Amino acid sequence: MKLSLSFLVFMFCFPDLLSAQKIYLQGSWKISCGTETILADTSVLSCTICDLQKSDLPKYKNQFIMRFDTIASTVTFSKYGGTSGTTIPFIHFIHEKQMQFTLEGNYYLFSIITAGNDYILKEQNEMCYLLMGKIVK
Amino acid sequence: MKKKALIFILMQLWFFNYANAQVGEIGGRWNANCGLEYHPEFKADFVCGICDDFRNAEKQLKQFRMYFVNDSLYFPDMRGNEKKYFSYKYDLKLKVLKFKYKGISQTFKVIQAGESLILVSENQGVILLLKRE
Repeated sequence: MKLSLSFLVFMFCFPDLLSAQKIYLQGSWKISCGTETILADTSVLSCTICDLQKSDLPKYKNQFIMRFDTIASTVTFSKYGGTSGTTIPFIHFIHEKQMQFTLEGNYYLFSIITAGNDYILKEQNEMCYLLMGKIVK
Repeated sequence: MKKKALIFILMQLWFFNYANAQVGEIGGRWNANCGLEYHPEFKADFVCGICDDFRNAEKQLKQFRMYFVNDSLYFPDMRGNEKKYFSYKYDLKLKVLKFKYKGISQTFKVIQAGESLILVSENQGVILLLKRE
């Protein structure tokens, strides 16, 4: 009896132990575009977001920056070496570990997968994988 | 004489391609981070069988090591002591990795993301993030 009461108190204090790992998006992230080989014709696929954000700097060709403001629920896309960015609203489904936004007329729904200290964004049709690495200032 | 030389050159080319396909960009030492994907039906993150076996219990990190050396894939523990060995095949052209784990065939798409690799299993159930050690 005493033991179960202690367990209940413990779980009340640490409810996160029962639920899925939390996602913390706030701040700037370096995004590396996942380039996938299509089995049928061995061509390389990269998703439309990556095409839109492509940097002129060869070193950062497949990379760009996403800056999340979770209070305003906005995300800013900016190119490496670029001077300006595009800010759009996004919705973070915290419990489902998903996010959605519309960028230049394209609707995206991503699953947010935790992998160590990074996140992988998996597009719902599995056509696009983005690796998010935290930029620490 | 010419025929023998031609056969020799063809064999060299074949062997070079084979060796290349085995090692390629996947060769070397990697830290593997288990991708934890939320599954609404279980209301929890999914942890794959491989991750469950190799995770570092001390730090509670879903992380282990994968070493690709020649035709062999090693899973050393995080202290570098115990090593588990499997043979693997990597198709450099199609970017597909195959190995048998506990008697079950595992097939992964290999997706390059910057300096890292994302391994996605055939049935989408397992995602691993590989970073150079």
